[in-house]
Amino acid sequence: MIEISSFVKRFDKLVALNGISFNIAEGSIFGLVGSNGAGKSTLLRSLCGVYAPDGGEILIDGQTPYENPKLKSSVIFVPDFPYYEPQATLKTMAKFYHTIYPDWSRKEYNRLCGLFGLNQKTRIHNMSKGMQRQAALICALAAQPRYLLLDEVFDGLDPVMRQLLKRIISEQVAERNMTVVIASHNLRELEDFCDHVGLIHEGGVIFEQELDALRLGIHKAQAVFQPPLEFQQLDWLKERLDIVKLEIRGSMISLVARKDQETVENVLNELEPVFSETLPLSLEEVFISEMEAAGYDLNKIIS
Amino acid sequence: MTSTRSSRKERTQAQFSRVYRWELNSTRMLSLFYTIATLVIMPGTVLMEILSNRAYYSNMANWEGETKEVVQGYFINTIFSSYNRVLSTSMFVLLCAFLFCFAGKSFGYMHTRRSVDLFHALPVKRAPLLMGKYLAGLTALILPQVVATALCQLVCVIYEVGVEPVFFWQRLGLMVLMTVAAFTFAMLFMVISGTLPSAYLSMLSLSLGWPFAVNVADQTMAQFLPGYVSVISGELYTLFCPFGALLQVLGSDYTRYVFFGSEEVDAEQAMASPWFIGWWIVLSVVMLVVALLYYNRRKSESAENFFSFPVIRGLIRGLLAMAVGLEAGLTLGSMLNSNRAFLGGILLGAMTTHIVYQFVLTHSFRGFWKTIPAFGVSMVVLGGFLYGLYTGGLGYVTRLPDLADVERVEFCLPTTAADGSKEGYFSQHTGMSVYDMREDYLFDLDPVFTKESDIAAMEEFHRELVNTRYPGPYLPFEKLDYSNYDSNIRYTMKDGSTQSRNYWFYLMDSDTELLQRLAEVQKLDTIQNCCPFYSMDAQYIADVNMNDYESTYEYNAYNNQLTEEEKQLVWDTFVEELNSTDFFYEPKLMTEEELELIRQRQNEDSSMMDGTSEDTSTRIYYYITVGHIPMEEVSPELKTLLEQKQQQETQLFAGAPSYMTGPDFPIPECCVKTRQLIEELTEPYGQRYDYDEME
Repeated sequence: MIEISSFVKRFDKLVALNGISFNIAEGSIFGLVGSNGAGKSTLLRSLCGVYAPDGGEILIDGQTPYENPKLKSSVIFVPDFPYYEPQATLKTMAKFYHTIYPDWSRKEYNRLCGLFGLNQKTRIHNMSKGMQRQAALICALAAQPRYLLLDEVFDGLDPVMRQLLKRIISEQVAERNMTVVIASHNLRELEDFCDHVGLIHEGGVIFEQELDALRLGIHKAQAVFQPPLEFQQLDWLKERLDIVKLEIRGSMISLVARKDQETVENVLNELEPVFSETLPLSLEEVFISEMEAAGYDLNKIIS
Repeated sequence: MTSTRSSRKERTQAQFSRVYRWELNSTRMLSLFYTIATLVIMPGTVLMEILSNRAYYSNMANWEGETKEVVQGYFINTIFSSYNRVLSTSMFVLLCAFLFCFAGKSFGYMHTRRSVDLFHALPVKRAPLLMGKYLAGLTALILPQVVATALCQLVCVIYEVGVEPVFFWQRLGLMVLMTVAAFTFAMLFMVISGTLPSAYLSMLSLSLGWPFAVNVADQTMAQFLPGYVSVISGELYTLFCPFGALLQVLGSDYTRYVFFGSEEVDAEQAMASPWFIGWWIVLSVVMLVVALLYYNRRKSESAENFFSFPVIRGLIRGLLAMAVGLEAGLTLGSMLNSNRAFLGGILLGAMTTHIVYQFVLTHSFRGFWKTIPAFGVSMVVLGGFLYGLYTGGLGYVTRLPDLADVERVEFCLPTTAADGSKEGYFSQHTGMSVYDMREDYLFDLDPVFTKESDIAAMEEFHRELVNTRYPGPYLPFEKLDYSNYDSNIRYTMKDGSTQSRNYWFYLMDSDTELLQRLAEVQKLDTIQNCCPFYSMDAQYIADVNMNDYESTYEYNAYNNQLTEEEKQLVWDTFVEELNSTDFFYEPKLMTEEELELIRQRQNEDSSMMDGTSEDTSTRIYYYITVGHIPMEEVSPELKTLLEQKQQQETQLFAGAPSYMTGPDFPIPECCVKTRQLIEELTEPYGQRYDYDEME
């Protein structure tokens, strides 16, 4: 369990994270979404004990990660640009991880090497960006962490490798109850992978929620009414549905409501529409709606 | 409770052990190159020297008249000379180069965000992480030195070269000490810096900036303070420069120690002073502790930020700004002989240094204005220093010791005599140089006062000099600041401490009070105890000579083949004339007109200020040159003085005095017979030059 409460991180005068609070349940895959510079990587570095907090606290299993080797032995961070020594090969990096991490598994390492198909003796600096990332993931996963922190991990991976990675991570989550926090600015990449998401913007968490609840709890609908709805009817509609977004074009209305599909359909049907259709939102649409409801322009937030 | 502590300690040890092992493993290629190079340089040199010289030194036909032991000593000396040479050249360069490499390899991870992400996310606390890398680096640097030293010893044993083991192992000890100090220094700068270039630049800045600052401060004090005697030692120059101290240790000349062994040289003194060793042990520990404390406080985000602790950057920049400012001030002030130019030079030099350093370090002028207060602070500090000098260096100029505390006074007063008496003559010509058996200069033996009344007379003269000539305030330029007269007064206190002053001053015939004090100092009964004249035997005369020159003409004549009878004749004639009532030693005091001339020509040839060279009465100079006086033949009084002097001299390798050479006795004009005798005994030497004709 990761508990983040009123966490603050500053870089000189820049406040990178400004009093954020949320929890990440054990065994979950938490997607951390936000634009470049939102504070995602800062949060991950704080979670793995690289950064010391400037306020508030982060607790993992009830302990602070900063200068806590015992805890950090079960937390591994794979940054967006993994570091390797100039002459390092996958084999030497494996040796390094084996020296440092007590739970490192050679068996798992060999299995992962087989799955990813990397040459263990090739200099990692000579590898492609995607292969370097794969090397980092192999080492990280072979250390069998209880908490895996991934920063823009899908960048540079081809679609096959992305699916493979998702599958391996999902397996480990299922087998070992591993908790994964994955930061990305690509919403579509996280949509079919995460069970929780949090949106970070300008150092604050705009919201965080379970993805299924988020998806099931918000729907878009289109309906045509003849004659068009009057103001009293619209007010009635707003009272019944927690409307996030409403557009009226003549006799047609489009809305996004924070209600399950059945409720939205039932409420619309009570007004006897000529035509109505209710659909779940994609993650991106959910985010757009939520952001707009909160007064943000998502185009400026998610690049 | 105990159990928890123990467990924590074990965990820390385990973390340290993991990092240490990994670091050793990851630097193994670098270590291999370093080890091979060390083995080639150290035992390789010893082996090559033995193989190439063994035949020559073992063939006694090459060493007629020498004993086998002496020749063996020469052989050892040859080997060790080469060994010392490679230590101070190749080994020094190798060690510095690899030390930088190891430091960069071990601690460079702090300076890029990517590597920080890896290392600071590891399940290792900061202290064991840093210490693991630190000790692994030291192991890689020191272990080859130990192995190489052992091999040197082994090679000597195999080839039966009778080497004292202390030679190699003492050097190793110092090399290890300075390696630890230099590596700790490098680690500290890695910790306090945000980037690798800024770490190297800061190390370089302090390593060069500190000795430069010390030197320029010394120059400034000498320029401001009349009587200033530099107290700056080589150890002070390298106080914060372990690389300089390493060179100091490796580059010293140990040959004499090796050749003469511990009978004549204190072994500890020979290698390095206990103060030096103690300082570097303490400083290394302090640097290590500071590095650990800083590293624990170091923010990971400092990587790529140039400096993680800007205070240190400010201190180094301030030190450089002050030093370069002072140097620029001294240069400009000296060129224009102006105090305003001095101050202008300081501001110009300091500001330029501040700007350049800031730009070089940060590659931009961003945030430059924020550094102006720090510049202001360094200027205030410098201003305080200069104000202290302006007001007399906290009483330095006027401070005279309490008479009751003084045990003795040594002095060397102006070559212009106080009067025309014999005392005046002798006091000018008593300086004797003392040498050891290898003809290496040890020290000068100046006249010494030990009687209370004599010490009081000297203090009176000294006080009069300070009060009349140097009342203050003190400025570095726009004064008549040089002369050919080099004078020294050195008080030795009863507790062994000393107070020494050097003066460069001129005497004028109007200085009646000062001349009177000087005359009281120069009494025959006080001078005679330290004058070689009274222990002189005619046999010590090396030669007699005369020279006759002016700016366009030169003639020299001498004779160093005098017979015993001729020597005796010259000496007796000289002593007779010296003791006659007609004896008059021509003092040449400066007149107001000459002083005015000097003022006008202050920036011209300094020889114009020499009263002797302005003497137009005669241009012919006659001398009796005193040769070697063996130690066993000097007077008991002089021997006592020598022993006292020797106790004061704590120079490295100060060998035992073997002989002394007396001064060249100039023959005053009144000694007509002696001069005539010299003319008869000498023959022209070389060519008679007439420069006008040559042109």
